[in-house]
Amino acid sequence: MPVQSDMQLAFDRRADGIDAGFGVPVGVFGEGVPGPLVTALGGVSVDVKAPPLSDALDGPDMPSVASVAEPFLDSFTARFLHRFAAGSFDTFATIVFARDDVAGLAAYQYATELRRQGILPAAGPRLYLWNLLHTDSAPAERFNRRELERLTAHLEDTLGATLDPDRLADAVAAEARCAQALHALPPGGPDAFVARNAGRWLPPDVHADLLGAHAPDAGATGPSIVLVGSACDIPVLHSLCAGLGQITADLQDYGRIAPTARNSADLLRHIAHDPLATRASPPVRYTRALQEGTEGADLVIASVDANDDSFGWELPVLRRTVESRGARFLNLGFRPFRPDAAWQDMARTKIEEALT
Amino acid sequence: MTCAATAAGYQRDWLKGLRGQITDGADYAFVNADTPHELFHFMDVPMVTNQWWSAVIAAKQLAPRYFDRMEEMGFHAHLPRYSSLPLIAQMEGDFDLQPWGGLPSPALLCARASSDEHPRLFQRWAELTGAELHILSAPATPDPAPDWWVQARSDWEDLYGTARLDLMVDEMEGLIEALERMTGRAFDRDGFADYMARIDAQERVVDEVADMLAAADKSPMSISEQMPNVMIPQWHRGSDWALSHVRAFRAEVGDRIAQGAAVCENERIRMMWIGAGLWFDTSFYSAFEESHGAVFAWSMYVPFAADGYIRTDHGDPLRALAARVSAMNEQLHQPPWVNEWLVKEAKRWRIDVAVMLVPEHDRFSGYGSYFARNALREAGVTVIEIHSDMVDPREWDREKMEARVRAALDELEAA
Repeated sequence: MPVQSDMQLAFDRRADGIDAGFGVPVGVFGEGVPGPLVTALGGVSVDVKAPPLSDALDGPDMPSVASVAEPFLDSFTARFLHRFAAGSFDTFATIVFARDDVAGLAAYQYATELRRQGILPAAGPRLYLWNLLHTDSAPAERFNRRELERLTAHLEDTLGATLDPDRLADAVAAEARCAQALHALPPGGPDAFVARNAGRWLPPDVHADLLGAHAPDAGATGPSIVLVGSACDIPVLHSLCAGLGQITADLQDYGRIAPTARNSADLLRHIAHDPLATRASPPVRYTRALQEGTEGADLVIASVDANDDSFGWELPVLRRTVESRGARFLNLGFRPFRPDAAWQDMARTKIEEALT
Repeated sequence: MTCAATAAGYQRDWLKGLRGQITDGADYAFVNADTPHELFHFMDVPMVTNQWWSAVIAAKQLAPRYFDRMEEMGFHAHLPRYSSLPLIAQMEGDFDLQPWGGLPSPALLCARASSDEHPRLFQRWAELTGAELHILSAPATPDPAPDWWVQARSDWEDLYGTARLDLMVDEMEGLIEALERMTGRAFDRDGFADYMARIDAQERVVDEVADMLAAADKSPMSISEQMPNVMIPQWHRGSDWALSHVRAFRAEVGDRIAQGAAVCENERIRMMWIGAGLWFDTSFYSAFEESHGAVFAWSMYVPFAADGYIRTDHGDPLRALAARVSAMNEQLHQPPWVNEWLVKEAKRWRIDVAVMLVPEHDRFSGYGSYFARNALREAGVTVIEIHSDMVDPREWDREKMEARVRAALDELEAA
């Protein structure tokens, strides 16, 4: 069945479509922010990294941002900044930027600097840097606990609420129910991609209910395809693979289900140990997770954004691993932020060739 | 003999010794530039710095070969280059072509996760060589004080943040344990305090030199000459030789100023070079002296020795080292730190023109460039952007770059 309309609308409109009744919007840029903390304090987490789909056509182009955005600035960062400068997030209480997101630190630093210099007004959401380390050492755990205390204080202050253990437990439970529904979705296909990501702009309980009632069909059959690369917030590769095979895993940000808080007494454990976080340390954890995540694939498809500085270091090792298993490895190279028809034709042809 | 020649000679001999140690099989560490080198030096662990080795390979004009190979190996063309050149050379393994006949496998690797690529690069090094890998975390500073250099020397606890400093100290303790295992020696904490005090004294001398160079009527020394005088002692910071050298350097600069010496008698335009050195074409720095009286008076290496390194220890030298390291590279690249610092420096050195190297395929070094460019322009400095790379000459067109700078200088002179 097609994607349920509320989820499709949430996915299409993204931060622009947030219902005021959901709670006070708290912007989140990047993976790894403990959502239940926001929910328990009366806020609703809203992804601000991925722009609305209409942004590609009529998104703002602010001279204040253009003057400081280098041509090679990450596209997620650049689009966020233009929208930020245009007031798209003015009703938000705060925006939490994940330092470990490849685009998050630059987005935070550019936004705060534009404000500091008076190029953009100080009015609007507070801006907050979430410094979670994706490392499991004892010093990192100590650091992360302090960061969590700092984030909690910031959200309590911003949202005017005090963290209540029962509400936090309820929020963790809602997140867990949502995560369970997400894991029940087929891993591939454009409809599943939309349904999965719609939750970035819906409260967890609403998303879980919608998924429970309207989960897309598994549908696809054929050779097993795994997608790897840098973040991709649109289902372009899922659409390209439709009819050619079944995507059994999408390990890219927005393709995968990133770990969430599972325990109100330890909100960070699973998030901090996420091996597919870009800055997971030691980085061999990432390499191994890629290798494990591609096991059983008939075809692994890689694509990266043009300014990638991290995933590209995995490509030769991963290719060797995949090919040593007798599977095929297709590197599509640089994937435009919003791929045009020519790029999609090229990609589909290469995928077809790789599968024949 | 000038101090620069003395420093170069010392370094040549010292490198010969280091090369001998390493090629004879001594355990050595391969480390990134923004890691706590002090720990390695103090423990007498031979050390090769990734970015220095990159510059050495580039100076031997080998970079194009390796960057071509990098793509053939399956890495994509837009990955950062400055820090990756040594890895690619090591993977290629054509050691007969490389300086020193190439590097043997290190015993220990150390990088700080200041940018996303460094941990991955060093992971690849670890897989290639089997060396023990230490990655130092790099959480960002949420509220960076624009005038960081004011607080950094003494009031660094608040500037960099207690939690970040605690983390860096904890992670350095882990590194110290590894160095103790590697050397079979205990880390002498009292001795380390003395060593850190000598470094502090050394950087304060360089700070005086910076003041002298900045205030001189005409630049008495080119940046090509400044660089070895500060970078080589920086490499050996805290040693008797380094302290003695920077004092001699200070005396030489003082003498030259007193004698009215000038790099360019006809100095009319003072320029700053922003970014790491253009290691494959350093003669670019003097290309505009004769034609326009334009002298590169400033590069980051002299002033950063003071602002980036002086950290009063307050009785805890390891914590002072954490303060030095925890944002070392960030201060040179990220807003508001970089833009405010460059404007401060431009004013201090009476800079007319800034030539800014913008490495497009290096997010960490490239981001923040336009904030710096705009701030300098607002401060009255003409800024010329050069989109190139510190070690990759493949897209470097010397003639075209010279023409661009000359055009800007012509315009400035005509105004």
